[in-house]
Amino acid sequence: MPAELLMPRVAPAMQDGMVVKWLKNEGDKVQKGEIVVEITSEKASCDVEAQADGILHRILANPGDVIPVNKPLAIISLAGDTPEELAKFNVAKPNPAIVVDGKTVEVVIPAAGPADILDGKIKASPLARRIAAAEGVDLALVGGGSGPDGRIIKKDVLAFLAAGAAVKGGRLAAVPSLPDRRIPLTVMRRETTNRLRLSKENTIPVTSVTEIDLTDLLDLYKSAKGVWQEVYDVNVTLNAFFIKAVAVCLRKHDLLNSTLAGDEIVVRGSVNVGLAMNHNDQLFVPVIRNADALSVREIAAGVAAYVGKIKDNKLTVADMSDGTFTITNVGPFDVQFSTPVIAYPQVGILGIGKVNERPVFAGDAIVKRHLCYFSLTYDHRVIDGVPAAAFRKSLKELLERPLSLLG
Amino acid sequence: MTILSVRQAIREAMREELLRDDKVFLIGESLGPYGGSFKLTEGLLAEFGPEKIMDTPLSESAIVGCSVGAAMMGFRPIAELMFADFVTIGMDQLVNNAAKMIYLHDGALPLPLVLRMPEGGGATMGPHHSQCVESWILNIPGLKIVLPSNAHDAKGLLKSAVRDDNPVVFIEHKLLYNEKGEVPEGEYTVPIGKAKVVREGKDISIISYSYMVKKSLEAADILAKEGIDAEVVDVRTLRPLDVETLAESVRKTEKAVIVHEAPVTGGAGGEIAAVLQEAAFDYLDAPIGRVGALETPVPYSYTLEQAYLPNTQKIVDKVKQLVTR
Repeated sequence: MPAELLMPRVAPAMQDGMVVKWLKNEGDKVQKGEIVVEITSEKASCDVEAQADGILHRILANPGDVIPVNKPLAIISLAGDTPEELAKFNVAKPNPAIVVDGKTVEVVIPAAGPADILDGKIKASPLARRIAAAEGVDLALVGGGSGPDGRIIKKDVLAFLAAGAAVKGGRLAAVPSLPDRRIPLTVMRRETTNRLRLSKENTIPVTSVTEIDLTDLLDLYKSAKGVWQEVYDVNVTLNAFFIKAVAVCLRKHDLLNSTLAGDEIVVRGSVNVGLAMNHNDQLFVPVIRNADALSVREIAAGVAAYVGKIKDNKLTVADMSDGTFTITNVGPFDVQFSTPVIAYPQVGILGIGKVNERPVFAGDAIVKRHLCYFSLTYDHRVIDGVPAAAFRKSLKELLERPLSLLG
Repeated sequence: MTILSVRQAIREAMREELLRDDKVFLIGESLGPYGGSFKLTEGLLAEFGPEKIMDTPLSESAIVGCSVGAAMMGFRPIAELMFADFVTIGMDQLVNNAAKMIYLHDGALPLPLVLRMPEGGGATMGPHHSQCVESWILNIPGLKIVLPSNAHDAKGLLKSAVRDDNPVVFIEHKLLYNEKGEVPEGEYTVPIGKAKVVREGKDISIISYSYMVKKSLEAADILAKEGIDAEVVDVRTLRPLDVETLAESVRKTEKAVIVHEAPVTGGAGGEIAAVLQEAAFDYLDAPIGRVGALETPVPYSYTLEQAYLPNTQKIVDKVKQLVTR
């Protein structure tokens, strides 16, 4: 009996995944445990292995196709399969989808049909083609023409131009309105929108902002950075200090390290801090597990490892799982402070703003200090204002006395 | 201006050329006392005598062959075939001698020969006396081909043909002989190799020659009532073909239909369509259409012949296929 290779569920919330690349062709031998296809879902890639020895009989999904979890990606024929058994699986591969001008268009390949459909050519008069070329009109957008058999003729192109659609230059007196661009949601984007929606629907977020003096931390960071690089081969970043400080504070104010489950607040045993990272306009939130028990240097090494994985497209679903709190540092993007959205079902997220040089009173003297806004968004259902303020106070104390973080 | 029939215009042209140049003479069957099968030479024998109005036996080969020889010796013969269909009998002299003599002698021997012949159907003359032969000749380099559509052009073009040092096949349409038109008083010629826009329009170019110009103009009138503004272009000479005038019209109207009485297959319309798509491809907003006779010999029965021949309605129908509104 042939075996179906199914779209795996690699994360609890996963509903479907997208085929990235087939590593085997139809007719290739596959061995149990051998990687057959790469899929992507939940901001991470995953390899799908053959579950049995056999031959890749038929591929059922093209790269780019989104397939629901537990639906077949391919059929693997096993030793002893009869032609009758295999014939049952001789279903046609779905038509490939292409993106035309932002629209996803299914490419219809009829079994048989007129040549003008089969070869994909557009029927247009030479004159219509010349005008279209001169005016930068994509004949595919003009649609069915008014000539015999739907041929696009001059007046169709002129009507299209008059309608003001898809013009390259300023040839028309009137400014043309350009067509909307449609971008199909990638699996990742869909996942992100779902998570944000869940947060909006399931939390009551409050954001409050505390200003913290990072002058001493910056001094410490600058002196540590070169030495740690040289001695430990670790590229330390300010984020490693922030993660450490937040983790210590979460252990102390553990209501912020919890989740709401029905009638219970579940305070999480581990302090797992997620750090939001951007790469190629995609959001990744790898998690530093048990960050409160790690040294700043260990955290820095962990963050550096994640950066490498993201660049190599090797970040796994596991790398982004089990976070209990999240940090998003938007300071490098010239943001003073933000109101970050809680990564539900977590209950808190810390947004770190830009570090500003400011004149500050030290007694009666004015000195230059490096100040930064820290905005804490918390789920008011679980945490009231006072415990949230206590968390921020602890954070401020730690970051303004940074040697304590090295303990 | 004076009003002449095509018959009168052609006779005037021959008479004036006979008077102008004593190297000119007429040769053919029943030209003299009978006055020509279609009465084109009536009265000329009395005026010019049998030296200039020369009757021959029933031998097209002899008529064309004598004319080639005379032209080689410096005469300017105007030979007449009783029916264009009979050109097949004179074809060897026409194709292998007349058309090639200038080339074989590197231009040293001019061949100022005019071969007149009436063609066309519509007169219930049956399959052997109704054919249109121009495309048979079109494939022979060396022969100019003139097909007038009216009295003015018939006279002017024939005078040009007589004065031309190349062999000219001058094809008349039987049904045009009685067609009357304005002709200037006195001397004038119409140059060979120039087409003429006979009706201006902007929606489609109806390209035609000979008797079908008349039908094309009638079709244009009908189309005008339906809001289609057709231009009609008279090709006048198939060789040399005035590609530029035709292409200019098509560039303006962006569509073309070619109308001739000869069968569509292998007809001159195919050649014209080919040169037009070369000259005006990027201006074409529709395929180039062709209207012509059906793929059979010309029927003798009047009813069948009328069904066989192109006509005004067929032109109208074709134009409506090509002009989409």
